[in-house]
Amino acid sequence: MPDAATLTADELIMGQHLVQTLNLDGVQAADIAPDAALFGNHAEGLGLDSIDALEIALMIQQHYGVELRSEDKEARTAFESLRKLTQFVLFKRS
Amino acid sequence: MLPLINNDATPLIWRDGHGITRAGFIHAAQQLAARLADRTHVINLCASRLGFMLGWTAAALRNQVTLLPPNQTEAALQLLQRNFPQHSIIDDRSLDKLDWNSKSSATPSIDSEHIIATLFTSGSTGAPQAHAKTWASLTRTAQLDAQRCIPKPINLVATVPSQHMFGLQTTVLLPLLGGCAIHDSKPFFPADIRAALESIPAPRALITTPAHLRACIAVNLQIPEVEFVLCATAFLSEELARQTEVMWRTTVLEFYGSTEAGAIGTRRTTEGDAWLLHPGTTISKEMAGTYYHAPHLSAPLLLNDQIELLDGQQFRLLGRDMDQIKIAGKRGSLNEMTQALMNIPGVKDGVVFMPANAERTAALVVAPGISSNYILDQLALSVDAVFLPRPLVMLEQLPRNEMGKLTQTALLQALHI
Repeated sequence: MPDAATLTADELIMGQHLVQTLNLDGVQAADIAPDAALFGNHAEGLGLDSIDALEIALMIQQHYGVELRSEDKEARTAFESLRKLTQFVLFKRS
Repeated sequence: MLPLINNDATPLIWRDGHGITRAGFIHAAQQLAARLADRTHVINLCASRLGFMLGWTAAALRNQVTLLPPNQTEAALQLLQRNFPQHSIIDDRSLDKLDWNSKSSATPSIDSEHIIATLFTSGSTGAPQAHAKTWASLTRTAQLDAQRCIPKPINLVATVPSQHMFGLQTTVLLPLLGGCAIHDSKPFFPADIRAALESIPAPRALITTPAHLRACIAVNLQIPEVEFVLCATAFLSEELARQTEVMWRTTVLEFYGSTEAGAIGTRRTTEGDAWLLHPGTTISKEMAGTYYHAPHLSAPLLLNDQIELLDGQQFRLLGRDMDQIKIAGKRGSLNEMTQALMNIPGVKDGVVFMPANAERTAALVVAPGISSNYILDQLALSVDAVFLPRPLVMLEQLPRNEMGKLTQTALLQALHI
């Protein structure tokens, strides 16, 4: 089991993709809290918005070959945190 | 009196592969109207097109004013609720047990000068500004839009919310009055857009934003044939418009407009920078600025943009006042954002600006002992999320020249240190 506060190798790679895709200057992928909210709050999470959601969807399709659809119930929770996003993408790809 | 809907035999909304008829819609709207509490205002939060249009029509039938918040944040909603205590809220759950399979033969109409809705724009900071709309003015807007863009009945898919002016014109008024039927959903991801287009018959059109278009083109999204793509809410590059036209064998049209005026003009982005004014409207240059004259406006409207008149029907945008920016359909003032930044306790100096070719604002801040995340969260209390600066760079001092001014070059250099 991964430590609750440490990133797995897959989460670190996903974090690096996020930092690069969204130009999150000053954010180190390794420092992203895996369970923190991606959207809304800057002090604890990354403070992303809906324009970012489209960029993330694009990155996920290009890097992982996974297509996001709103109808997909799992996709709705995938954007909650780095950990959930990584788990969703790995599950869809398998 | 003016009709609330064109009551002909064409479908109004495509839902689960079926067309909801106008007569069925009117029947359901009458049921919803009878259920509405006896209030003066309605806050319509429906995400489905059917829900929004039913709520809109039901409120009008009861002579209640629909309030459209500047965004769907909790703060914006709470402000509306405080300012309009005599309101009720309609959301998609309000549609429970409504019957749109029975038909009503009536064509509902309302007093043409009735204020049917008030839209709010947030600007970049401060209290939302209210824009009241009479049904006569919206009806005329819809007729002009339809004359310009809808030469024949067409089926729409739209990614924009119904609650702002561009969304209201395209997802509500065009279906109700302008010879269109619309898909019930508000697709977000490229795959959602494809699924919605596949579920409606030809001829089709897509109403969207540059951000959605970019996402679709980047993944080489294959969709059924669309007659045209209508785009607004932010800057659309000629390159993206051309790629879209080639990939989807379609025409990309852009809307230029504002909450005050509705649409003012349209252009085909790949054909150059000349915009075509809506039929029957004019632009005049006066000492005080550039004015838009249209039959749906009670007085000439001062435009924020610098405009060059080409002839009676065409104009060119010479760029916005440097202070004014537009992101995701929202207009904001960089000066106001800088002021909001400076108002945060502990911030000694700071500036919000728009780097060339950037999609977001950037900020330089001098605030010893305070974290950039704290500043962003403070800023988010008064500044809309789309305007929050990224990157926000903390410095020991701003790169002011000997005159105390910040040049664009110095700002960009400081950003990349």
